[in-house]
Amino acid sequence: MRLFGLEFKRVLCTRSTIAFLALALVLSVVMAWLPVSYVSLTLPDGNGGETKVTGMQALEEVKQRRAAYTGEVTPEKMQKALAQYQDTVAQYGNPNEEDFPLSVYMDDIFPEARLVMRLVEINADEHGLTPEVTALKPEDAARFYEQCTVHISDLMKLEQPQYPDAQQQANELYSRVEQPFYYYPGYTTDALEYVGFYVFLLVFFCTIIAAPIFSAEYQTGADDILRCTKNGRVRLAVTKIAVALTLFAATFAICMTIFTVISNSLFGWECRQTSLQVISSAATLFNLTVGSAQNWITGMGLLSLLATASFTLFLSSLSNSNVKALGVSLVFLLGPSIVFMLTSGQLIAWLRCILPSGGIGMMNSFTYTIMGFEFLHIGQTSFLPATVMFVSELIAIPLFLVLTVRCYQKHIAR
Amino acid sequence: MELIIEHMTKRFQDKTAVDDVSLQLMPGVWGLLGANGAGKTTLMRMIAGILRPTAGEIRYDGVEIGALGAAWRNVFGYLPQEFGFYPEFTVKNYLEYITALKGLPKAEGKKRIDTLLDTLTLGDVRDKKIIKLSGGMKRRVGIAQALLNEPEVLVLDEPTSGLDPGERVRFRNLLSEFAQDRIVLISTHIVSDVEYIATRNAIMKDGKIISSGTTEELVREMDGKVWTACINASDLMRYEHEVCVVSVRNETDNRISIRYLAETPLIPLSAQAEPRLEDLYLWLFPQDVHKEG
Repeated sequence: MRLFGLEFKRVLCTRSTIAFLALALVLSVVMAWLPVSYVSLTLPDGNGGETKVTGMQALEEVKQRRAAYTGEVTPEKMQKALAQYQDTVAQYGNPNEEDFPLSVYMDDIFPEARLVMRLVEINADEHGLTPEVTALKPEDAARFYEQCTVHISDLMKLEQPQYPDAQQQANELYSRVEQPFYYYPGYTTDALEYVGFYVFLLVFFCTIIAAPIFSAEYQTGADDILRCTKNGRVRLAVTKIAVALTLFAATFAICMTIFTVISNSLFGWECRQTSLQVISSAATLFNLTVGSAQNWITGMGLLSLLATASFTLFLSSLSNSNVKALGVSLVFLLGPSIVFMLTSGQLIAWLRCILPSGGIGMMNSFTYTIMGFEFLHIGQTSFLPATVMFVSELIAIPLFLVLTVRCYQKHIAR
Repeated sequence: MELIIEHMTKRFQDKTAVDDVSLQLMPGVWGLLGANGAGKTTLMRMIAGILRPTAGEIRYDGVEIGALGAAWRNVFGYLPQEFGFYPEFTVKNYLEYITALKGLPKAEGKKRIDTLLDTLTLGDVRDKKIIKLSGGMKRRVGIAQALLNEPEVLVLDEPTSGLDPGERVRFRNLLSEFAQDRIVLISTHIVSDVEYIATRNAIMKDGKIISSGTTEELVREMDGKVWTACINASDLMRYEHEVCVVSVRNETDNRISIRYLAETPLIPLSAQAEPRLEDLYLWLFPQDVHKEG
């Protein structure tokens, strides 16, 4: 325990570590605030002109204008929203036209828009083509939830035409989605994506901190002294790993707590009850509310952090130079994102999910897998990417930690 | 207590750094002399267990050191020739860290740190960051860490490089005291570091031990090969090319007194001189004289 404390002190003495931890802390506030700053509304100013509001003011305006649709999304509310929307369109024309009166839009279209969009979405035909709002009937709104199930089946035939197993799994997953949905206006998918972005930044910082943990000592020769001491082999390696993972997990816990508290306080804690199916897509396969999605992304984020850190420590234990350790670690950290952007295909998709950093990234993270319809396949058997990521990371942590200890123990410096 | 090095060999691709070295080390100070590149550091790193030998083994009290594992490291102290510190650690923090790694109880470690800081005159810089210390001070911190666990076997690779003359004398005295009932192996190419304190010396050249024995035994090899002579200053350059000149001293009237090594006297009116260990070293490694020149 004394060695653990002294190693902890040593790591915290390092200037770059302090700098990155401080930056992570500052970003917890910034990243929680940014999605709020993106909320903007154009409102009539009362003198025939318009005014733009952003941030908290816009958020308050959204909540206020959509207050009538807060809470349980009942078929009656759907019908009411559709009727209001259609009446307004009948009276003023297409709301997407430039000359549509702003005050009418904000009073009679904007409040209903979220629910009406979901209604339009689930009434897409078997080719995925959505109907005009004006083509929808009150009965369509009344049987919103029944149509959701039909829509999933059609959608998965389009998304996964060759894989009946994937279609079946999707239908089974969706059958577990709690209905009716709940809606508390304000929270945006941007905010949910920012949970994933912030997790990515934390993993990025921790990778930079972890990369030189072993390699720096090989590079400077400090290792020559350490490994000649009684506890300088397995015990030191285990202590270094324990300190690094404790530091990263603690940093993650503190930063994510601050981030989550600020984000939910700004958007409103009630928004955590909003069904993901209302703010993302009605066809979202997982039974998740905003709150449970935040929890899952955070939990998976921690797992990804530990898996990536374990892998980085392993690379560090193999490298004789800090630059090499950091360079290779960053390649593997950013690899899944780069691969995702540059190429596609089953093999690449598997690789992307299996790598320790597969659960994080700018466009390919766990956040997107819970909102998407992607499946991985081996022959005709299909797997959910989220499950593959989860299992891969669970395996990666002990595997790379054991390899790290082994490599450190066997290392012959210079 | 004995440390037996048996047929140790280390080959790096096309170079044999240590070539079938065998030594039996008993308690006392052992000097390992040799020019740069002779294989001293490689041999020490193998003793320290941080470099795998190509062949051979090292046994401590009859047991192979690899089999002893942590038990070997528990009685072992090592100062590498070049080493890194944690730059942002203070001297005290660093030594506390090594104390924990060496498995010393906290109170005992603290006492030991205080004693060593005092002995090595590092007390004033105990709370200073290592990055801010001079080269000599860093070296002394290195020596302190090696001595923390009062090792039975202490291996020091070029321990005095960077130390000023006063520090070197203090260090030599410290080692002499410390070496009672312990094996201390010091590698150096500064002969005076071991000349008066080493119980025995081994001389390495091209990866092999070419000579070993007490200082007196080794020095005896140079009997009749060390000469002094008085020459004109203008002849110095010529003689430096002809014989191995070890020292030069200006005398009066543009005359110079030189000390040189040769099988027979090569300068008129040469007188035989009392040989020293340094003479043997320079006899064996004449290139070091030319480097100095």
